[in-house]
Amino acid sequence: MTDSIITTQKLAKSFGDQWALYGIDLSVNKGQTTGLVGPNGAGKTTLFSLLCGFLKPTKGSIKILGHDPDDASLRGRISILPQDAILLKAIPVGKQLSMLAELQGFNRKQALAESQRVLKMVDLATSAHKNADQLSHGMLKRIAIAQAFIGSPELILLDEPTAGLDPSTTDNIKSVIRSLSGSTSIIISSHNLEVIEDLCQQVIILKKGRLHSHEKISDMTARTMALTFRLESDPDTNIKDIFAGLDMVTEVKLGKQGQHRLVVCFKEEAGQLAEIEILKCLAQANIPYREMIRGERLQETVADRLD
Amino acid sequence: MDSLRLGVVSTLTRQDLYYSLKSARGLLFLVFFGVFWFWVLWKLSSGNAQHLASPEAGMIMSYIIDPKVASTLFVNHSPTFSAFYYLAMSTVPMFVLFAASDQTANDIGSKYLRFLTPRCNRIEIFIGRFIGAVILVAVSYIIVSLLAAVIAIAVDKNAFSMVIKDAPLVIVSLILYTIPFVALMSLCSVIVGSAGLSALMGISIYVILLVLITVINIKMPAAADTIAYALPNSTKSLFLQLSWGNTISAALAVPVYVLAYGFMGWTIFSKRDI
Repeated sequence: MTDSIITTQKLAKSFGDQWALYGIDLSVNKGQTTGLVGPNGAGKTTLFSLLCGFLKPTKGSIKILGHDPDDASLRGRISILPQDAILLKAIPVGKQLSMLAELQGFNRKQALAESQRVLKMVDLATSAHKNADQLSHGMLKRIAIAQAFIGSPELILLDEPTAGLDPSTTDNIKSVIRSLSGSTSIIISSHNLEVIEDLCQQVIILKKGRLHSHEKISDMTARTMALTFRLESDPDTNIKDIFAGLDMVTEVKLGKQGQHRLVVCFKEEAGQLAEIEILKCLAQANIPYREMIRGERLQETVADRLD
Repeated sequence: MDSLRLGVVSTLTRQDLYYSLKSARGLLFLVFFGVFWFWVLWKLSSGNAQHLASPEAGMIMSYIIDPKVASTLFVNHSPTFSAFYYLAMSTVPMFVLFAASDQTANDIGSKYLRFLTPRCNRIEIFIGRFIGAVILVAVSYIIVSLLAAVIAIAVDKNAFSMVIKDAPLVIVSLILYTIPFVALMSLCSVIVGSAGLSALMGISIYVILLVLITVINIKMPAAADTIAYALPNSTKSLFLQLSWGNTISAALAVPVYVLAYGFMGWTIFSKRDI
């Protein structure tokens, strides 16, 4: 018995002579929320499409819950928020969700109740009777997210779940996803790395169709043993010198040109004292900053890796 | 490996029919079909079709259709009901290529299939949509045939028992004749990404083959006869005889067309990216 919910071996997909994905070896564990990141064209949506059986691999193999993506036993056990799929225009969205629930084995009454349940999860229970063309882009996105929750599947793939949503709705969706984590395996593809960092335990980074890395987010970012500053301007390369007298400082990292970023890492045992001393050093050197956060941000870590 | 769950096929078929009655493309077909047959039945209700039973009209009709068929239809059966039947058979390609054009095409284009495939197998979608299209077309022809039967009984003299006897045969023949066309469209609609393109493709295939057969027929009639079997209308002459024996003979060809077009369609649909 393996804990792996997704396994791919030498997975590759080409469109004509263009390889969208190549040589992807992945193993994703059950019960975890995993982020899938990478720049545009990295192959994130293609990977999701292959996992769901929308696309057929050109090379390699995929196992989802131990089965091929086309295996009938997977029906209803996995679900996806597709990035660019469109709901039917002529049927109320609540009815559409109950139709999809019926295909997962619910009878008509249960399907109606299930559609209401998932609509409540995304705070759209009152819009059940509206047709798709009466809803805003953000509402349609939430409906599409709701369909992915029908029947409490074992694996949920969410392609850009917060794209086009306002901050308040994003928080609502994040909270729903958080409530499912642990009981459900979730993979989130997003350019919003704050969402990934907030919700995921692991992250898969794709770059130009290849697997760049797959690791725990906690291993990629020092969540507590660093301070990240956004300065008024790019720091000088000799800014490291102002921390020379602090034994507790282990590393000073500078952002790329234009990022105005400074990351100061320190020893764990130094705790809050280190934070105070680092701030004092900046003040003494008369270096103003606009923002300070504890730890490193995934956004910068991933951006650094992808350059 | 795909497997076929009949319960899911039934649900998909029911949902497809529900959507057909709600969507623009379904309503467009029904309105077009309804308006055409309302106009035809209105004309037939005047009783003018009775003239088709006369020897003079029979002579003129024999220029258009096979004289034997013309005699069978308009002399031995209710002329009004036969006129309806002949018109219905002749317009089946136009209506069915349109009505059955969107079995999977729009859902491929809009990627709606991406909501379905995590829940059901591709074979279930393919078969469910085919059955949905067959039922939509069949119900449409049943309704219009029953209306035509009522008009024929009212208009033609002493036609009651003849029409009552012919009506089931006409309905069965029409339904059986439409099925290969629906199967052809199930093939067309898995190739393209919109119902419009699918209909255009179906009509193009049909017209190109018709022209090709006509041209080949000039020099090589035997070859033309063979190629003609590729068209879903090759059984038309048998159905037009309006007898149970010929209808049963023609019906034997229907599964062959469904399997041939269906197999080609399924082969593409099972492998294509959606």
